[in-house]
Amino acid sequence: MADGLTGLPVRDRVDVLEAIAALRVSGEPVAAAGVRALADPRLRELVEATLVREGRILLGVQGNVYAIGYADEIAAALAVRGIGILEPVDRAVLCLALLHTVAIPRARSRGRAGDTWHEGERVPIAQVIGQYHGRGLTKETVEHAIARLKHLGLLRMGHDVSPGPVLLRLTPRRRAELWEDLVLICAPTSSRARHIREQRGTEAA
Amino acid sequence: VDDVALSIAALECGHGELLSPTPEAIAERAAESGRMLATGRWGSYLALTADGVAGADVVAGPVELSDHPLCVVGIVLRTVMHESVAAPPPGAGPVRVDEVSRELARRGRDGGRSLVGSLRLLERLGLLTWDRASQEVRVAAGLAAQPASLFDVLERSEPTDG
Repeated sequence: MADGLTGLPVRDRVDVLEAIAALRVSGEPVAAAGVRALADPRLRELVEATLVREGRILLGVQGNVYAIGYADEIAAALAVRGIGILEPVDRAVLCLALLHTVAIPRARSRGRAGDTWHEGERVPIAQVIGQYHGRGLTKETVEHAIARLKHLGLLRMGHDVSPGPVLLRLTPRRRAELWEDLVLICAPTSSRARHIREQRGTEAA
Repeated sequence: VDDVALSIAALECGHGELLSPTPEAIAERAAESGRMLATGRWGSYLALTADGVAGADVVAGPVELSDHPLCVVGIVLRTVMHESVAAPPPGAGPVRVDEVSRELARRGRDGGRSLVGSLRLLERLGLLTWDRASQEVRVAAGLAAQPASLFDVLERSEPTDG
């Protein structure tokens, strides 16, 4: 048992484990109201400490609602090893879906401000598929990619395309990097894109 | 990077091979949050221990399946575990939906509309995954983590032909 949990009263230890299991298995963020170890700051610290030892972090979504994500350095190390990453076609379709459901509406001052990716507009699947006409991907390929992304929770289930709850699990740094990636793709010659490239070059050096 | 944490994260992502740390180190760390390291024919994976299962019930509710979804789970398990109804590794499969449908029909159960309902329920409970694009079903982490009692029920309730 973890150092942090050793010596805890049985009820506290069980509550901490329950909170971790709830965060792990729930497809949606977990409200602290129904989970004692998330509502109690002392126990919540133990939840956080236990998660850190598994490469996870506790993310406050809004108010007293929580989700878990992978720590940035763990996510980066997994990606380098090719573990848990999306296939290129799924990545491309996700990028396009987020562009239409989150980035473009937000650029036009519609919906929630900020850097989050989990809330956006619903757009018809045809709108996403239409972007790929003549670019070597068939309608079926894009539809299958959308189905896989919905299954993973990166897009919401339903007839239309909209961002899914798994995007709540992105850390602030990952969220920012996604926005930066969009700038690099959509406006590669802009001064903002140059600044991002310089900044990333410096960090990599 | 903490190698043990990285190994646990990799296992969560379905990577069946252990990364650099020893299995003992991974098992010890996993136990801290109510999980155990298990190794089967498909590689290594993490399963909830009794403590962890108690926690999972908070969200999912106790898994009490009616006859049809229970039968679907039994068919999938028997297919992926080669006739043995035992705890499978997460991701085991795939089993084609039309194959499940045929097996249901062979056992006198609806392999059409009810199958869709059962698959949706099992997916929502985190027991199976259902890829609509390929029409394939796989074992989800929730099923791999169920206590032995569920598999005992399946063993007893698994119907024979008709």
